[in-house]
Amino acid sequence: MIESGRGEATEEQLARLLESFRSDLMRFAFWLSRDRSIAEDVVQETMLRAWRARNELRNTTALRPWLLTIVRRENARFYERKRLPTVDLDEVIANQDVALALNDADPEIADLRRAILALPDEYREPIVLQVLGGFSTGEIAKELSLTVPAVLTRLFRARNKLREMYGIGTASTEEAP
Amino acid sequence: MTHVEARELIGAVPDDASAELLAHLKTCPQCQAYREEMLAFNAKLRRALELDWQKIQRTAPAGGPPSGLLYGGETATAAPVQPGAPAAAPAGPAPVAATPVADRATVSVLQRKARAPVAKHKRPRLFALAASVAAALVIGGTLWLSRPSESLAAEIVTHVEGEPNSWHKTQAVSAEQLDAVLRKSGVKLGNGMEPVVYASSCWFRGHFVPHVVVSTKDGPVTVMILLHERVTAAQQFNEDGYAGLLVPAHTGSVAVLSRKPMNLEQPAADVVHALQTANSPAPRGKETLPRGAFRGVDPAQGMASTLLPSLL
Repeated sequence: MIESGRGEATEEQLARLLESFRSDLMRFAFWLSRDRSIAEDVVQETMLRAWRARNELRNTTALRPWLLTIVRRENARFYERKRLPTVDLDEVIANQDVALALNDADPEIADLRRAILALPDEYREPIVLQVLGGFSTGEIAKELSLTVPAVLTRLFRARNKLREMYGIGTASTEEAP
Repeated sequence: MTHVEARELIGAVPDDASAELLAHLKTCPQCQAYREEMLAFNAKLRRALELDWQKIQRTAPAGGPPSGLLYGGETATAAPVQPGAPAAAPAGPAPVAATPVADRATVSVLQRKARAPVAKHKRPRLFALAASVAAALVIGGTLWLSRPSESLAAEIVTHVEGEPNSWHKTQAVSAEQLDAVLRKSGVKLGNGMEPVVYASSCWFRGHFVPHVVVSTKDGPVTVMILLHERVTAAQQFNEDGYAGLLVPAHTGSVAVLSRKPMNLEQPAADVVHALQTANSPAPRGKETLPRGAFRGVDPAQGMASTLLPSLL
């Protein structure tokens, strides 16, 4: 049972809480997998695992990062299990579902989404964990089995690459005058 | 801290508020400008990542994940998983064996189905299908429209229940800490609120929202500023022992909660006023709540009325 404001939460409360995270998990899974169908599979499996482990949950405060961690591992496991071939980015973006996901009334946002999709995994994953998942650099380091300085470097480079692809130009690290 | 170090840190963590960085920014307008630029970019980045998944799901083909899967009779007898106590060991569950067939059956099959060819010369079936789809859309739309406030109140309470320690704070948070929390959500607050004794940037319905506790003369009151949730009029609710009030605000809405029945209109009005003064170019004066903000709220009745059924 999980600890809530007053004592233990019921299964119904936990079920509702888990369901409330579904959209968050789908977004997260989509940015990791870049495929809507895989994201759905991954989230489904994540929900199932979380539900099976419900009796071992202690409180709801860390539920979201815990779920995101499962999503990340399930996504990695999915690719490992399926041995999916590397796909061309143009094919990814041409996919109707993905195109629909990237659309936005603001063309700048749509462009930025395409830039995010084009980021290599090593940069996309930490930036998604940080901005969408709300993870600290320490938590990202633990998730990705990296050192904190390495995470900082990846985050810095990820933003630079995005700004470059987005047309802003890279951030300068030259000494200011 | 050198300029290079400052910029690398800002580029990695734009909202970093370490004392060392803040001290450098005070003496370096170039790095301060760079930080502003990166904060603006980060806000766009967050918006780009926050896909409207609901929109995609509504147009998705059959075979998508069912909603409410966890209510479907799934039992707890499956293979044990070790999630660890999330707070102490946020690492996820250890790998387990493949999902049993029985479990799969209770959840769903998520493979896409090939679209069945539509038979020609069977117009009655087509009409029936169209009518069914139209009826489903109408029913679904009605349910969808009637859903938000009720589930919103429940979700707010569920969220607040997850941070029980927030109620016990008594020391006012620093201005820097509060600023950092507000900035993360793109929220600006003017003056006029009671002292803030707890401030946290919380993930709620796909967005980071400020979750603060203010100390009032009647006791602590939780405030959540929900820029992305609109309500048309004020709504009181009593949910799981919490008294709550949702009011429309300058942008989005504001939720205030207490653990005992009390007048929540004043704290709500203070927050709405603070939002208005910070986000409106109009000269400061006696601010009023948006039209209809407290429609339906009976002041004499106070929080005793229950507008929403208890969901728990």
